[in-house]
Amino acid sequence: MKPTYEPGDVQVKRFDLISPDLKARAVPLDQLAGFDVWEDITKPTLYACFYFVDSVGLLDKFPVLGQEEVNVEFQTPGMPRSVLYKFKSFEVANVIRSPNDKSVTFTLKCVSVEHFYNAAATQQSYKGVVSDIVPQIVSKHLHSKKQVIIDPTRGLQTITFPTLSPIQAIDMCRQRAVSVKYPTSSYVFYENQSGFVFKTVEGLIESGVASIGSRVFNADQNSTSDKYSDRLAYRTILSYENIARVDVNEMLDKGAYGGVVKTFDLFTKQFTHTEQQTSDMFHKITTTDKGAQFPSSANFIEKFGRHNGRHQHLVPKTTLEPDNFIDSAVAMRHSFSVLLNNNTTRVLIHGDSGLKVGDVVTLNLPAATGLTGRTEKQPLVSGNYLITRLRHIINISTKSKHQISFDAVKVGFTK
Amino acid sequence: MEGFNWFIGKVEDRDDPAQLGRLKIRAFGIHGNENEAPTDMLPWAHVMLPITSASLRHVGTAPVGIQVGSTVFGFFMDGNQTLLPVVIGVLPGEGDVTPLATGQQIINKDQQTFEPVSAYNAKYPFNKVFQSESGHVVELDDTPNFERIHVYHKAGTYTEIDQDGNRVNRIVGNDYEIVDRNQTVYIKGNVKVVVDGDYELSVTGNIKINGKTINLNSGTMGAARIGDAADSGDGGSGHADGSNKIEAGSSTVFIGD
Repeated sequence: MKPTYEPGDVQVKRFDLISPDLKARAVPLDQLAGFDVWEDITKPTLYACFYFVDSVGLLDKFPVLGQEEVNVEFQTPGMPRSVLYKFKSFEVANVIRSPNDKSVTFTLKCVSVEHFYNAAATQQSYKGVVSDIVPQIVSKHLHSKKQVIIDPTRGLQTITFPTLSPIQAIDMCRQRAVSVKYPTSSYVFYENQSGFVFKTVEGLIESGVASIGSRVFNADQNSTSDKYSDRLAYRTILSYENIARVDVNEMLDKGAYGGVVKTFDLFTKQFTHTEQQTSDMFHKITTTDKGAQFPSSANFIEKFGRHNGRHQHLVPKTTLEPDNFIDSAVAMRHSFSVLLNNNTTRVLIHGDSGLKVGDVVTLNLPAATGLTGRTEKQPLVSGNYLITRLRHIINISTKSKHQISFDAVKVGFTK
Repeated sequence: MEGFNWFIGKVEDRDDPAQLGRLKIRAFGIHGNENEAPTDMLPWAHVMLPITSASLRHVGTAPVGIQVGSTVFGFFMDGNQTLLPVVIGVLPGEGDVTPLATGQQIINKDQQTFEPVSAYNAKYPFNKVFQSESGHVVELDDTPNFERIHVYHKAGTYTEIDQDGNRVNRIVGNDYEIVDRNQTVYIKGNVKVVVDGDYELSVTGNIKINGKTINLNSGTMGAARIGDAADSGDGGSGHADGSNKIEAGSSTVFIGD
């Protein structure tokens, strides 16, 4: 008989530990109580915790030292592919032995194996565009064969890295990266189940919006407002909260409404002064929703946003070197990052093994109408969101369950 | 630009294609070794000059003088990114200070006849010495009671002024002095000129020699005018024994052989 599945069901298809000397392998799925996997667009590698209830002496006999390779593969039923995460453990924590010594619970903390290579220094020099340099660092210094998905950058640069770890070196590249296509050049470097990503937030939004597909989540289970109504149960928002909302004071203070870029050329000794108005920028950037509005009214911007921002960027440069275009992007990048941080929602949904950080989803959030029963969609905050942090929460039992908690940001408001 | 990120480094290249005095610096603990960061991949460091140099439209001190191997101190204009270094000074270490400044060495000048002994008697830290890589030296010596100014060319030509204002000029090669207009030389004491070779004085105009006694002593021949017989014996002028006087109106006089 064909099994039936419910929202939140998950199949853990593989879970094994490989000893540090690669000579021993354990498949302790029966001792695994659950695990969490974190992805974050501000974090370069993955992080996971595996929770054990060990009644077979795994901890002491295998033994689990906190240096093992950990492989876990799971799949939401109905998804075309499973997802395989490979980790390296770094700590055995929270070890609690039962009073009768018949079992022990512990947590095995893990990160991507690349994180261990990050302890070495990168004192290397590179010449080229940043989007070519980053994959080289990933391959050469993080010893990774994972793919690196990039948004191309412009500006030939000669970079001699100071004593930095590979990830710090990539972060330096991120700061120096200027996009060929996206004016904010809001580059992020992170890892998700697909590999490493070195893209702009705008690029993530553009590609994410194009591939939303069925990932339309409704807070109201009774809603029939979208064409994927047959999947509504799987796409129900279990809970949500708005953890950051537009704070105009903060935005003004941090320069989201305007900034000044000053450059000083060491060769020509020329200063330049460029004022960057966010209102001008907003017409150029990629937003999560088509036709999204700036999160302040035009009148507000006119009154408070068209002043010289005290947020200033001084960019020393020299025309003796090829232009790196950093001065053209730095103010917009800054303003964009402030915008991003001002509209964040935390959502809990049923598990979806294919969902990853950097994806765009549609959230239909209800308006508070005071009515029972069906509610209206709140137009301002409903719409497309970019997932910036994501946590797979999987509980292992006779029927394993999977939930995802994610933070998502929305660029602009719809009406 | 964020933070003040300083460095100490060694100069590896000073042949700045822009000729601004820029240097390739390998910052200790920042740039790794030659394999990790070859010299040509190091960023060019701009150099900072003291406020005594205008560095404007050809005015000021040329930003050169540092050598490959010099140890320098500076900071990165771009903070932690460390790609825009600026050198603000050099750090002298053991064996780097010229012995002329420390009083441990005097320039060997192969002293010639009539050449006084150098007045050098420098004591540290009074002697401000600039010594170039080829060996030229300029000294402004403030050593008490032995104050000197000394400009020395590596070939041996020099000018030295001692604590009493006495000056010694020595030219190991030829000496040329060109004055486009007039020259007045006033010597309160005596003048002594010793010439081992010939002495030729060519004057387009007139020569006027005024003296209480003018004594011309040279060779076996006396004075003669152009066109005079060398030794006619007829009582005319130009006698070899010098018994006849040189008459007024003589335009050219030969003395001696």
